[in-house]
Amino acid sequence: MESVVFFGKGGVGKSTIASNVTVVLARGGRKVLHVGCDPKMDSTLALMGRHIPPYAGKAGGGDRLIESVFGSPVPGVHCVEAGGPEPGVGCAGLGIGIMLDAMKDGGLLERAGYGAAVFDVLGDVVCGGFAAPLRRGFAKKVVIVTSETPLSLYAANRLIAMTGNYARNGVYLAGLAVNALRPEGVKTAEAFAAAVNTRVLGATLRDPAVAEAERARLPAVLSSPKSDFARRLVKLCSAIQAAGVPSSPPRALTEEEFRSFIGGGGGPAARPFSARRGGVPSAAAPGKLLASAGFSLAGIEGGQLLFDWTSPRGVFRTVIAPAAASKGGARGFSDWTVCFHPSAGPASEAFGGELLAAAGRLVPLRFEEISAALAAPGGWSGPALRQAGSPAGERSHLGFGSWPRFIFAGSEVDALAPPDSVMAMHGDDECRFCICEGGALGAFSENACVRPGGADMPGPVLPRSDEREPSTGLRSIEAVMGDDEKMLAAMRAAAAQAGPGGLAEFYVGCSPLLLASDAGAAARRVGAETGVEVSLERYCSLGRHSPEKAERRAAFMAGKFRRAARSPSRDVNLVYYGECPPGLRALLDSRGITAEEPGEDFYAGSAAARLQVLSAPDPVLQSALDRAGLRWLLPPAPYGLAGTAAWLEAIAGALGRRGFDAAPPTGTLAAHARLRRRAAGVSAAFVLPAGDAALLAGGGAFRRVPVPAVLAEGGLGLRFFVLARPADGRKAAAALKAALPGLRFPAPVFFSSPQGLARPLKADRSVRLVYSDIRSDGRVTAAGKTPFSSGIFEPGFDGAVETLRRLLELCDWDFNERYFAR
Amino acid sequence: MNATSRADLFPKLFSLPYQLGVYLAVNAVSDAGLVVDGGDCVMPKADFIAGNHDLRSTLLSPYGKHRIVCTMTAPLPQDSNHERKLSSLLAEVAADGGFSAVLVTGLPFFKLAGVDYEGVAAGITKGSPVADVPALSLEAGWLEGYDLALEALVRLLPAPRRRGRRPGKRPRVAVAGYLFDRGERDHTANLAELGRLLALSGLELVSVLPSGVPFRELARGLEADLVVSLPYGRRAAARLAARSGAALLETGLPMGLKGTSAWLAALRRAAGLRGGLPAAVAAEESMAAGEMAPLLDVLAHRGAVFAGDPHLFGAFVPFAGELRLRVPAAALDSGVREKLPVRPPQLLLLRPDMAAAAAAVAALGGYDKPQLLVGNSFAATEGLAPGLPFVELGFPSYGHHCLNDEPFLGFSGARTLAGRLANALRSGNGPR
Ligand code: SF4
Repeated sequence: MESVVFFGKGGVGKSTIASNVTVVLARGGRKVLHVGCDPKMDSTLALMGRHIPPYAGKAGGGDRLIESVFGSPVPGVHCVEAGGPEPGVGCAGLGIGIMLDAMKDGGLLERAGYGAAVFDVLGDVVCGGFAAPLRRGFAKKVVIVTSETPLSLYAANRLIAMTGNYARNGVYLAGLAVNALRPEGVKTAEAFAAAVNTRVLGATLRDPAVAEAERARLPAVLSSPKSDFARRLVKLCSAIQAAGVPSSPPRALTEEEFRSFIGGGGGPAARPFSARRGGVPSAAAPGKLLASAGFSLAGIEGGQLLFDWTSPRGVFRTVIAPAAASKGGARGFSDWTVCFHPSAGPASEAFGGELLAAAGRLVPLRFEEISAALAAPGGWSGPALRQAGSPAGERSHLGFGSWPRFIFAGSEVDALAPPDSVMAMHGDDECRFCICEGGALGAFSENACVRPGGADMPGPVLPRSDEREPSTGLRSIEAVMGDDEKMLAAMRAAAAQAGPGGLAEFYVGCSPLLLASDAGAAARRVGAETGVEVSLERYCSLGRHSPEKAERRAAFMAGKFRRAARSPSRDVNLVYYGECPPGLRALLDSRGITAEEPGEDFYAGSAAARLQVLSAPDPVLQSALDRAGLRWLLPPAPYGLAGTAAWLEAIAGALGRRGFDAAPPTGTLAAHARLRRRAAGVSAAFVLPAGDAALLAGGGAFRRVPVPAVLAEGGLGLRFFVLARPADGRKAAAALKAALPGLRFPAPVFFSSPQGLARPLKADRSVRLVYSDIRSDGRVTAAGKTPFSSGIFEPGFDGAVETLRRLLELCDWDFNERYFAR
Repeated sequence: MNATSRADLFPKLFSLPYQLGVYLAVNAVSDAGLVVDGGDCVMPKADFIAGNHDLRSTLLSPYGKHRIVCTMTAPLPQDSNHERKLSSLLAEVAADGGFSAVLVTGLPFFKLAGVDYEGVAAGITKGSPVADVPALSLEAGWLEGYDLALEALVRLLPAPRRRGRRPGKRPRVAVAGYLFDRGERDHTANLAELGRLLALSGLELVSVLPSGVPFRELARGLEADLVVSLPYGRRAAARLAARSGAALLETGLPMGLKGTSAWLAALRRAAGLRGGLPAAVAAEESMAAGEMAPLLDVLAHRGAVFAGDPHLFGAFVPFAGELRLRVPAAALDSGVREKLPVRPPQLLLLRPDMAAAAAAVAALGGYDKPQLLVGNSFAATEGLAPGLPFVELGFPSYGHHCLNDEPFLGFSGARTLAGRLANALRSGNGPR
């Protein structure tokens, strides 16, 4: 089956060529499917004599596609249009991909017995979506339609690079179809073809017959079969059909080579350009007109021409763009528009009238002719062409052969969302499932530690688990046709939920980011409607604070604290202590310190107490409390006997209690001492890379439980197994000492590779426990030891005894030694 | 603003994402690897399976040899040629030798960017075979992801040997599209039961796709004379049959007594065996019926709410009818692609907002008021029918793990599942 994809810059005559080729193929006896892949949806206009409804990303695959295939009045021709969103919204490339997926799934070409397929694809934007016919394996033969103008050749050059990217799929460039503005332009195109190592398959010239045919909505080969265009088109079609895989592939010019080719400038000239001397057409008239109006070319940016316009008041950077692609604020002339470039600055605005007067002198020129002037000798001043994007730095890929840590770092400070704030996530269904609780490794989970009993961790819940972090669930239809409505609805909902003076954060996910969804406009609109400021955040920064976000959150929380203010009835409020407050509150109570019961209203709870006792550093909360004039304290973590006493002392000190007794009850001390005696001779080990020693000091590791200190207090020995090069050993040992001041332990055991850990770990018979945040860590069990984590540590005095009892139970447990030791 | 309206504004849908299905398929082939093009936000999805639903999963490894890896890429900064980088990573994974087959797929934003996974995969010619799973997260759900991942694996199977004629031998059957969502003993027992029943029916079960076995063992499916397509893998089964030239039979799940017998009879017919089911099969069926009978009064005229995937639902409803258990309401976590049961429940919700579904279930009154909840974990954790006895079934099952054989297919499965349903009703174990 003959299957050809036509690519080319918009407006170059690609659809005209493609639809006429379709007719010639059909006249040759083939049944032809003409596939319009241009969001303008006019590829099939001449073949159908009317606009046909596009497929436009309909759900339902092959069946719905068949409804979108129409028989043409031209015998043997069927047409389908991919369609697409209105300019500037959605993603047309995706829509094309979805249509072609449906075509492939349903086996449309084979089932309907087509002998040829012609794909007419917009090529200004060389995004992957527009390459869908090549990716989906529909066509291997590519024809690039171009004129001799630099913009069109520039697009052709990029399309050649794109075609090269798909060579792995068997795709090849058959050659160029030249639709020249002037006869001598063919030579320019031929020179370009030679420079990129391809061929010109055929050339058509401007012909009134084509304009007439377009007006009549007919293919020119039918309406004017004797015209020069029709004659050339038939030749072109034969050449396309005859074109096979080239013996050596084309190579796109580099930006510099392209500049050099167009402008005749120096440049490295990697290859000789035979056409440079004789082949460049003269465009003296447009060039002269531009020069006399004060415009000199400065470059191309996003398909638009940049000119430096010299006025009596100075030189200003201006933009001349095709009318269809122009931005708001530009003034239209002929088929193009002009405006100041943003870099011209606000001063330029005063000279808008003069710019329009100068541009008015160019009215006789069409955009193509202005851009053709760029090829005039000396017309190119060597501007730099912008390249999209910048190369990404090398990033490691997670987990592929890497050595998971035994001790997860955790985060040093909390970046918790303020209670009563609203966070909405504009993402897809995959984003919704980017958070899970628990799991085999816990490495990617929120709740890494194993809690005793397990009953409180039945498994993940259906995300989003937190109602304040809902997800919009972007679907393909919105990606194709635009997601403005969905965004607006979500923002309105978030704003309504936040209420006046509330805090609504809207996180724009990766897919909308790629679609260039205008979240800013939606946020402004919702702000105007509701009076709620919806702040926009970049995807997946939910758990991170930018300075602006921190400031907004702190201001919001401070306001809430202030509004909730009342005279305190309690001594303390335990903030973010998770599930453990009952025991701690009882402990405080037993020492005469009253603690606020956790309630629905976070802010009212805070206001009810004289002192806010924080469980972890939280700069936003701390700042908000300061602003609201609420006192707060970040005491040591209440784990172990000493740790709990220090916690109590700090609180009592902050409350001004004199002579406060922070000592553990004697019964508790005795129980602890009894257990401690049982711990003699057994050790708990920590495994870590040399650079991680600082983790042992606390910070975010161990969920802020001072694990080594509590172990030592319980009488367990401490052992350290450090992954380090021998040369780094001394430094690593010193780092351990520095991280754990006051604790005694033997010199660490060093091992040089992850595989080398099992032997020394197994060899140390005193080691019964090995710390790991990974549940049932196989590296520990394979050494016959028992993994443990901070999840089994309980706060308070009673908790200290219970913790030690659990640790000793684990020490006595020989299950892994008996069954899994290798 | 109260909690109800909050949920109205941002409904929490009972649906699972496409890639979770892909992960399940990879989980079910013990030495397959998956490269996901995207950031590390794709990794927690593995935790919805490994260590929570499937205690025997090897998707993630404490040694770092995860079977799912990601490319750690985001939309920004843009890469000048992302596909080139992806190719080199894939080549590295394929050459590593740790995986017998490698799949690649990407997050939706890469689909929007037009990344050519098919071409990139085809370009890897050394090492383990590599295939793409289309990045369809924006348009499809987990069941499609599962099917398409299986289909990709079938594409990678080595070319089939010619299937010789084996006169006088039992026809060989491959079952394709089985939802082997975990390696626990509910599924291993299901597969043992199917093998046993096929043998009793004069057939030889040569392969189940997938069944936790290594990739290369799946090639046995290409030797089958008959490929039985189960609803979780219609495409994969069709491709398997197309590759080997075997006959293809599309069926539902062999659940319940009658359902299992009908399934076996259909297989025999499709395999060209004449006559009805052998007496041994009928005897098995009767024996199971005899064991179940004393418990059935517990279930009779009671109502169960079902919550889970549509294929399991399609098999469960006739089975429930066999038990005289009504199913007045169901919430399905995926769109329905297959025919619904002959008598669908009066309340059938597809990918519903869980809060709304719970309200609708709560509104069932009178004789329609359900007494039992049957479904996956989310049915319980999302409060679909609070307080009702709960039988956890399907993916995910975070609460119920199978250290012993607990099939739910075939005659043994009918017995076991009927027992679980009746026991739950008797003991009144409400959801957590
Ligand atoms: S990083 Fe991007 S793709 Fe991943 S969850 Fe966040 S928004 Fe979604």
